Amino acid sequence: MCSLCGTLGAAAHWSEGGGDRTQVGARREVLRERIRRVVLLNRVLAPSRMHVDEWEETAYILRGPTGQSVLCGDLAAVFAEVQRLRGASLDPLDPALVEALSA
Amino acid sequence: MSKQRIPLTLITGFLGSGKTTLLAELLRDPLLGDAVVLVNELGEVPLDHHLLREVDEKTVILDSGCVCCTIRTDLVDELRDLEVRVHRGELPAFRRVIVETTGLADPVPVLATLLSDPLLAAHYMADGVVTCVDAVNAPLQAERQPEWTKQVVVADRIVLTKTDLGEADASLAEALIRARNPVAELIVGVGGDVPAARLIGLGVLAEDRRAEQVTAWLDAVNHGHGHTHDHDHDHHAGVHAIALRFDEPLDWTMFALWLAMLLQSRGDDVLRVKGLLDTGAEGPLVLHGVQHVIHPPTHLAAWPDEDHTSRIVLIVRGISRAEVETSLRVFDRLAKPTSEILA
Repeated sequence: MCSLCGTLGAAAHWSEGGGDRTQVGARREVLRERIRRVVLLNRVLAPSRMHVDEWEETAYILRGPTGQSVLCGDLAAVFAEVQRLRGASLDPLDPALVEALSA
Repeated sequence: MSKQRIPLTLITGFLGSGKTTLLAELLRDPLLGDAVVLVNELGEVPLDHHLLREVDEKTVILDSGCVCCTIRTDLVDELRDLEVRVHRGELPAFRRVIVETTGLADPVPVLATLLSDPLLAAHYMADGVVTCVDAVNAPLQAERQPEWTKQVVVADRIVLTKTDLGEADASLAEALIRARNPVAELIVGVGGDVPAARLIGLGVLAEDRRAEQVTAWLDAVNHGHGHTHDHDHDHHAGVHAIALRFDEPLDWTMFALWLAMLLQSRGDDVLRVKGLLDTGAEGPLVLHGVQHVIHPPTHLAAWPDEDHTSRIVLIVRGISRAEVETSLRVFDRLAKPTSEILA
């Protein structure tokens, strides 16, 4: 699936496929990973004054710096919406962002 | 998945690069006896095969406007129709599919199509991309045709054609190819004379060959072609390979977040990615992507060799190794405390 659109519906987004599913209680593990993804997303988005919440185990709610909120199906949709709300993409190679996240 | 998925080989190459000549030769090989062959148009080179089908390259660009999500609807229709006809007994069962693109086609939508359509994703798997490069016209095409570059970058095997013509400069063509794709195996194929086994059945996504594919990439980038270190090619195509190694386990959730973010912001410049990642599990996680098309990552039961460190190869344009490595380390460090929070 294209990681930009992420909405084609054939399967889960690739980013949700790498967790360790070998343990008993795989569903619980998926949920735990989703919650952890949200924690990490919020660390990355903090310098941009954006925030993400988990929604019903199926989506993420992204809140922009001025209070707008939007439902995103997966990580690709989250970053597409981050770009739309900021008016520019959030580049992980951007030295300013890397410095902000190192602090 | 209980049913073995049917491997699909993509044969691409710029106009006049010898795709159809190569295909005509390949079709003589018994290896392709049970293949379905989908060609865009029947040209001057005669193709003789009992399951030859002509398709029109019909593409649909999805609402997002993302080029990688351009879906080849002709392939979806044709492959679905073939499945139905086999089930009805109207066609013999086939075990592989060969798709020849037009000379100006972007091969990535074919790969995206295989993953995006639920039926195709369940029944077919990309076997490999074979790109024909005309040694005579490579310098001009490399300079002027972005389609040429794309076809070369996504290739798993490159067949260098027309090297027997007087005006061909095979070493220059090879250098131009290597600058853009240091990892594909390069084969000289005059008149399409290449054994089918070197091009068909590559299994680039096969579970049991994924680790082998990644280590082959790493070897190619680190040692194989002599002049593939990332600084060497910045001045021509701007396309180069970056090989990274991380001694500590990587946090997969953060890595995926980082990669999704990179593809959103710099996706046009991230041409390919392959990796064996140590995520703390018993075996490595295998990553494989072509532009925005990232195949679902899989965990291997065990490491393929003694080296249990995370190894990642990216083919990028205008992105330095230092930028990627610094960023990845910072993101990974940012993730580490959460294990304590959520424990």
